[in-house]
Amino acid sequence: MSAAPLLDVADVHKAYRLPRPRPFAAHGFKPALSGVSFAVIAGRSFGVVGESGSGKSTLARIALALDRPDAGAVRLEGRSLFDLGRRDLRAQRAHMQMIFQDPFGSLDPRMRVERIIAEPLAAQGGVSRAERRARVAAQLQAVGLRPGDAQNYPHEFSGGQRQRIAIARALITRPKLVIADEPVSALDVSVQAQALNLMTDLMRDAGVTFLLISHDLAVVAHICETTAVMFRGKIVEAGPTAALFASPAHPYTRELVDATPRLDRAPKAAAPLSAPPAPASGRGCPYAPRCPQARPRCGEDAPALTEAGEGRRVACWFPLG
Amino acid sequence: MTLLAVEDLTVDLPAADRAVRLVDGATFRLRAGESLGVVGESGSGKTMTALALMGLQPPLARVGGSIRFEGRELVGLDEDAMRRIRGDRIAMIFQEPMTALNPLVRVGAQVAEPLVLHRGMSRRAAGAEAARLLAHVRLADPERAARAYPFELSGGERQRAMIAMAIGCSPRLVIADEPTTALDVTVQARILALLDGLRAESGMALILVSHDLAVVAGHCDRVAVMYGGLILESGPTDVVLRRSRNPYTRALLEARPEPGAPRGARLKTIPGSPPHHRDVGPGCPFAGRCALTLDVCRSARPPAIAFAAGHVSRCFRAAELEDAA
Repeated sequence: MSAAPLLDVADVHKAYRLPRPRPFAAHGFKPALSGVSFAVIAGRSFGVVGESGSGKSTLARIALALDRPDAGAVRLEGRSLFDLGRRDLRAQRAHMQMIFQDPFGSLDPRMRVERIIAEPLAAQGGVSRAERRARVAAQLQAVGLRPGDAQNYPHEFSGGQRQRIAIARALITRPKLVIADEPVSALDVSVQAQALNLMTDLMRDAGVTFLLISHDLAVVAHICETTAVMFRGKIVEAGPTAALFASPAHPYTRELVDATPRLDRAPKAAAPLSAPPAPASGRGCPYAPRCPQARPRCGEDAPALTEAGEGRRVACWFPLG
Repeated sequence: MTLLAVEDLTVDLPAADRAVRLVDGATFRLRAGESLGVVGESGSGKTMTALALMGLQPPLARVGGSIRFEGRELVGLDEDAMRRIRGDRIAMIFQEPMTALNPLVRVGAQVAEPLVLHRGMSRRAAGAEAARLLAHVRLADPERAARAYPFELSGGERQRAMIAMAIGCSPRLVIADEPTTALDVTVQARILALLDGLRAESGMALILVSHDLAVVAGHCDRVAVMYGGLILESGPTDVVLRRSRNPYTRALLEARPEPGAPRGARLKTIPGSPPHHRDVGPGCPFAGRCALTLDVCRSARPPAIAFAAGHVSRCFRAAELEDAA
């Protein structure tokens, strides 16, 4: 067992520049991530949940080195991605792949499936055509498609099959880490189960570890051993998934759990009021304006993410019991 | 009192060689104040059913059967008469308010428009009423929302503005097509609570169209499960969810990962994927994917079999499916 975690995200900050409000005025900045830290251990898939604007997708882009953080480090098996030269980065990228949400938009409609799936191999280089072909066929079978499907175009497949093609493409380089941003939310329920079972098989049989980004708590709970809850660019709570959702310590996690529609219980009465506008200054806890438990201190001072025992971390002055 | 009685509703779309049936024999009733959830996957016909109720089916589509609303037949009604009902007695809320709202018109003016159109209010009176409606849907700052253009509002705020527009003329029936699908779960919970509240206070009926059984389960008195253009099962929500008499409903319930279930537990899958309406043959649309398929399922439409409490299942084997779910 190696000492370094598979993926180590350390104190990452990222702000996006906003357009100038008028000519020659200073740019504003919108913070997307402020001080995000977590580690993904090989073999233990990690979930990130949160609402739109929480910074989930920015995190995925930075973890893949598609975007540079303003500060902080991302290490894949101990090697810092942003200190690597272009060639070394490319070599490291073979160990991590991405699955996107939209199985329609992420496949080139003019390419045959064989070329789509083989593309990461071609980018990596050094693989003969015959071997490429054999690996595509094997990969298609691994995701439950027929090797003969390699000669077809994306439009000839259903949504669920297209997502399998995207998964096959992600796995062709035998990556250790697969970053999946909402991989099943565009799929019909009857097809979602196939994709989730496939992901479970890949974790068990192919040694893949997922960094799974989703708004759907049930999907994350199904795949991930550990989960981080994000709100406005910060991790507000993290820990073992089952415990996190069974007994949330952060009021925002509680709100997420209560808001998730379930078949086995009536919905918890949500306050019908729309959320009030966010405060201008970011001094206090970002969740304070919405928090039913907020006290004066929450508006003045932002709580840090601190250890709360049993592998859990929570950023709240008054965590729930 | 029955507000809406839909009997054997069909929607056909002419295609190159033959007409394609998008909705096949939909039958349901709705009383004042009641809520009906229409659940289905893509291509199930749920949205087409909702559009047909509003007379908003695609121009070439042919609607058959009967839609009786407040005792009046809507099928075959001319466009002028339909326009007077639409937005007044029946209102619709769409999935993406950004595309349903006019991006160039201030939100307050858009909410006021149906009041001018249907109630003959002056612009000024309608504007005042719009401000009241925006407050009524619990927008945090209704004056700001009224002056704003749609892009200046968040997704949840836009959906509230759409709801304000829909309820302006006190419709008796609101049809909401995936009203919360594009929203975060916390916002979704608030919007659904708002719709529940409006229904309780005004006695309007609600048809909630959704792909999510759990959303419908929490907010609807009755549910209709559609697949391949057919309502395969309908009835009181708890009866359909707990004592389903249809293999498709059962498969859907089992395919969902439930919070609290052990991680990595095998989900029951449904082989294949939902049929394209072109490919729906003479039999049951679910026949190819159903574990209980008989020969007859492939050759004939399953009959609607009625059980207690208005529970109906379209399945040749419905009677065999006892309370096992």
